[in-house]
Amino acid sequence: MATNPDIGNPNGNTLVAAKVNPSPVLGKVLGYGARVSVALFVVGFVLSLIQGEHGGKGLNAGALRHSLEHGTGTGVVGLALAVLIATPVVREAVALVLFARAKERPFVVLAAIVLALVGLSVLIGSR
Amino acid sequence: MSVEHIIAAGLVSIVAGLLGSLLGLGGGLFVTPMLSGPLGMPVHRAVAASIVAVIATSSAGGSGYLKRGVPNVRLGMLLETGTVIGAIAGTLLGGTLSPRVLSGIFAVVLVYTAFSLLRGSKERTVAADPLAKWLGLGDTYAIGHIRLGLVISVLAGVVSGLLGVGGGIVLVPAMVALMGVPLKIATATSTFMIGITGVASAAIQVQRGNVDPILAAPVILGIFIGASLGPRVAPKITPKMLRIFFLIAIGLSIVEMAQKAIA
Repeated sequence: MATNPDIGNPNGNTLVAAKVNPSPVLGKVLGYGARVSVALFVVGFVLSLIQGEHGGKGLNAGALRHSLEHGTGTGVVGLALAVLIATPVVREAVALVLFARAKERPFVVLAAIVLALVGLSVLIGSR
Repeated sequence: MSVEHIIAAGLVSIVAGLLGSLLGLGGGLFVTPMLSGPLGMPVHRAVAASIVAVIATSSAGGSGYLKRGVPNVRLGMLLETGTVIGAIAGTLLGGTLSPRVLSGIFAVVLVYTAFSLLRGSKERTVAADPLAKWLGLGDTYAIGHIRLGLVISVLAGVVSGLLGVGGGIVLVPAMVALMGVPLKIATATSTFMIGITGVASAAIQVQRGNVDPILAAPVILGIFIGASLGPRVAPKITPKMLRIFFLIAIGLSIVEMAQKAIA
């Protein structure tokens, strides 16, 4: 785990107040998530054009499973959407773990609150 | 939706992404007026498509910023609690508003953005907030007014959830002018934060069937292409030209949304 965090230093100098530098790991999580989702979007989009799918409606979890089982472009795009939405959530969870390891409790609590709020939004959306 | 509509959505998203990249706005601000205007898409659907594009912009842009260590991650994690609460409230509120009211609010926010960007945010030094000191939020600069910053974060989240934009138009000026965060760090921190903020909205919008994946794909890909073209185009554009492009784009967007509000 990297130390000497850069907590917003325009010159990239190391800082002394904090214990852990989460930036490189969080940057990788976001970068990989973005690349995977864009690749899936490209594949799904091309597939949907070839298959003549024109959309016009939303996609819930059940419809996504059905579309994936039938290998449709909409299914692949739905998967891309799921990866895209999951990426910042994974980033938040990774931040929680990094801060927990470094025993920076205030930021563990903050990350847990944000994850709980995202969970709440999922619950609200499903009703 | 016809193939022409899908391709047109991709093309207008490239323009939105390019403009957003050149102006440091992320693209979300221009997606909804373009989709709901020239393409005639319902405003609520355009907002839902825009919010997933905002997540994409945040992940791609935030990753680059984080690798260079620019965002203040700890400050971002603190303010995210406010933006996520606001985003949930904004998304729920948006679902209850008529397209006319939503378009009217969008027009007002665009006018505010125009004034805010033309005026610019002046960096200033502030007295360190004891809470910021306790949390170890800043070192080379002091961070002030944490509590007020949190309240403004909730407002930024409401704007994001309501209109499908990033919220940086509210967050960045507040971080710079109120909390004493340098502009470059404030912009990077905002980009880092808006992804999880957008997720809180998208989780509701997707499950309610408002996000059409076949529309989201060209919008997201268009924003990505436009945003990646930005750094290449930027050196060829003078500040005066950029100002003119901005005024034309935001002027047309204001007229479009105002027309929808009045019609």
